[in-house]
Amino acid sequence: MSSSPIASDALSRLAGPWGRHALPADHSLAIRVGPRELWLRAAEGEIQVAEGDALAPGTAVRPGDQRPEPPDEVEWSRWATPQGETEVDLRPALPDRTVVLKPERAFRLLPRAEARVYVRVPLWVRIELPQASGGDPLLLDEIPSLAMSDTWWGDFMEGELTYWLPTTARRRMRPELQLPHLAACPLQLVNRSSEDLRVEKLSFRVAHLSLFVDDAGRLWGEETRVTYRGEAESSQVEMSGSAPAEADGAIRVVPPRSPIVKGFRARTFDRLRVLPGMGGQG
Amino acid sequence: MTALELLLVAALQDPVAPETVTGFWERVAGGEDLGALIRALLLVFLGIPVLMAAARWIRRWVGEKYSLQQGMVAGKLLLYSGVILIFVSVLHQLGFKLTPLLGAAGIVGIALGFASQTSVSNVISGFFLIAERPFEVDDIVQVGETIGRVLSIDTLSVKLRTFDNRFVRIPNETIVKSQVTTVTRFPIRRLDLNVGVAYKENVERVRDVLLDVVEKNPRALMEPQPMVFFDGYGDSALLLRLAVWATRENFIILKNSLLEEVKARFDEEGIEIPFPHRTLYTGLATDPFPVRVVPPTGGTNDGDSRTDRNG
Repeated sequence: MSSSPIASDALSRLAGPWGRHALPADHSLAIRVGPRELWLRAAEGEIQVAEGDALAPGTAVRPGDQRPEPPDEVEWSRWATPQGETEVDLRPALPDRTVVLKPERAFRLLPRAEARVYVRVPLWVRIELPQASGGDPLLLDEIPSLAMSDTWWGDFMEGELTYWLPTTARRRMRPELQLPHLAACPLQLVNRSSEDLRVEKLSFRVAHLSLFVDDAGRLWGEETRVTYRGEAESSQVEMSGSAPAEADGAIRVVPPRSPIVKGFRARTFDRLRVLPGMGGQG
Repeated sequence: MTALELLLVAALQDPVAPETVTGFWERVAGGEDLGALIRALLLVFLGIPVLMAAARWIRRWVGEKYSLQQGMVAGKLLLYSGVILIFVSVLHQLGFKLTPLLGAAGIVGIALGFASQTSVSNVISGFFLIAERPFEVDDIVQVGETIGRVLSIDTLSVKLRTFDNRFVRIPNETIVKSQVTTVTRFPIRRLDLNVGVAYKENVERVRDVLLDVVEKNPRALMEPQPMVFFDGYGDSALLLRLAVWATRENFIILKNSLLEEVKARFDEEGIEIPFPHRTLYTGLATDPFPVRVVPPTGGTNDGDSRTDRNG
C-alpha cells in the first residue's frame, strides 16, 4: 500500500487516535484504539511499541481510561530510527485481506430489487515514522484494532484466507455508531437475476477501497456496488472511486491497498451449505 | 587397434571404419584434422559450462515464474538435450558417421536394457510422476512410513527431507507402485481431536465449551464450520470428536494450541477427563469389600496384613 503523505487538511480532520504523536522518553504514551491499547515510547534512538487488550479483566472501562504503563507480560517491538526521531503518525487502514460478512440475520433480495446496507469494518493502525526530509513515511508496523477470526472463502481444494466479520448490515448508518476505529462502508446490492438472492454471507474485497474522512471526522469506505447475476455466474463488483454521498464534505485520506482501474467479477455471495464442516462437499 | 575400436568397428559394420578411426588419430598426430579436434574440444570445454549456466538460469526463471517443480523440469530438459546436441556435434566434428552409430546404439541399448531393467523402470516411472504430478517440489508427502518434504523429483528417484532432518531417497518405481499421500496438496486441512469426558458430564455443555474454545483460537477457521461429533460410549468415558479446520500452514500450531486450550478450559469449567478405571461390583446381595490400609515397609507394624482376615 502506498504510504504517500496525507494532505494536511485531511490529517487535521481525523478524530480519535489518528494523527501525529510526540513520544515521551521517560514513560509510555498510551493510546486507545477501539478495544486495543497501544503503548509507544522513544528511548535511546529507538521507537518502541507494545499492544494489548484495553479491557483489563474485571475493570469497568470509562471512555478515555488508559493504562499509562503496559502490563509486564506485553512484548515490546523496537525499531532503531535513522535520526533519533521521537514522533510517529498513526494512520487508519482497511484490513489486509478480504472480509467475509456474515449478517446476523440473513435476508432476501427479490429479482430486480436493490438494497443499500452499511457495514462497519474494523480498521488497522499503521504506525509510521514521518520523514524530516518530506519523503514518504516509513512504515513501522500495522496492528488490527479488533482481532477478527480467520475463515476460508472458496472450497476444499482452492480458495483464499479471509477475515470473518459478523455484521448487522444496517440499512441506515447512525452517526453515533461511527467510532474512530471503524469505517462505515456502504454496499449497494443489486439483484439482476431471475431468482431470489439470499444474503447469508458475502465476500467484501476491502483491499480495493479508499478511506475518506468527512467534515465531522468520521471515516468512510467508498461505495461498493455488487450486481448479482445468478448462482452460475460471478457477481460484478464496482467501486465508485469517490466518497459515498452520505459523507458530507469528505476527502480521501488513505488510498486503496490494491488499486483497480475498473470493476471486476468475483464470486461474492455464497450460501452456508456449500462448506459444511465435514469436508464432503465442495 | 584397441578393444574399444574393435567394438566400435563391429557396431558400425562399416568396412571403411577401421581406417577412419585409426587413420583419424594418425592424421591428427601428423597435424591434419587438428582443426576438427580443436573444435571438438572447444565444444566440450566451452559448451558444457555454458549449457550448465543456461540450465541453472532457466530453472531459476521458470521456478520463480511458475513453480519449483516446473523450473526443475525445464532445467533438466535443457541440460539433457544440450548434452546430446554437444555429443552429436563432437562426433560429427571427429568425422564419425552417425547413422551407423544409431544402429549400434539400438543394439547396445538392448544389451543395456536387459542389464538395467530397474534403472530403466525408475526413469520411466519418473516421467509418469512428472506428467501425472501427484506432488511437486516442496510438498509434504507420506510414502509408507516416511513423511518428508520433497526436495527434488529426479530421473531415478525422489529425494525427501524428513522433519528430523534426514535425507531419504525413494526410487521412482517404488512411488509409482505405492500409495502416496500428499499432505499439502490442498490449502486447508481438518484437525480431529478425540476428547473423552466423564459419564457424569452434560454433552451439550461440553459441546458448547469446545466450540467456544475453537472460536477464541485465532488459527481455527470459522468456515468450514467446526463441529463436535458424539462418537459413542467408551469403557471409561463419553467419546467426543472435535473437528476444526485450519490452513495447512497453521495446522500444527492449531493442533498444539487447541490441545492446551481445551485442557485449560476443562479445568476451569470443572469438566472431568477420566482415565481408564474399573468398578468392581458384586451386586446388592453381598457385603461391601473390606478395605485395610497397610503401612509402608519399615513403618509401624500393625499386624500381619497377609494373615489377618478380620478386616
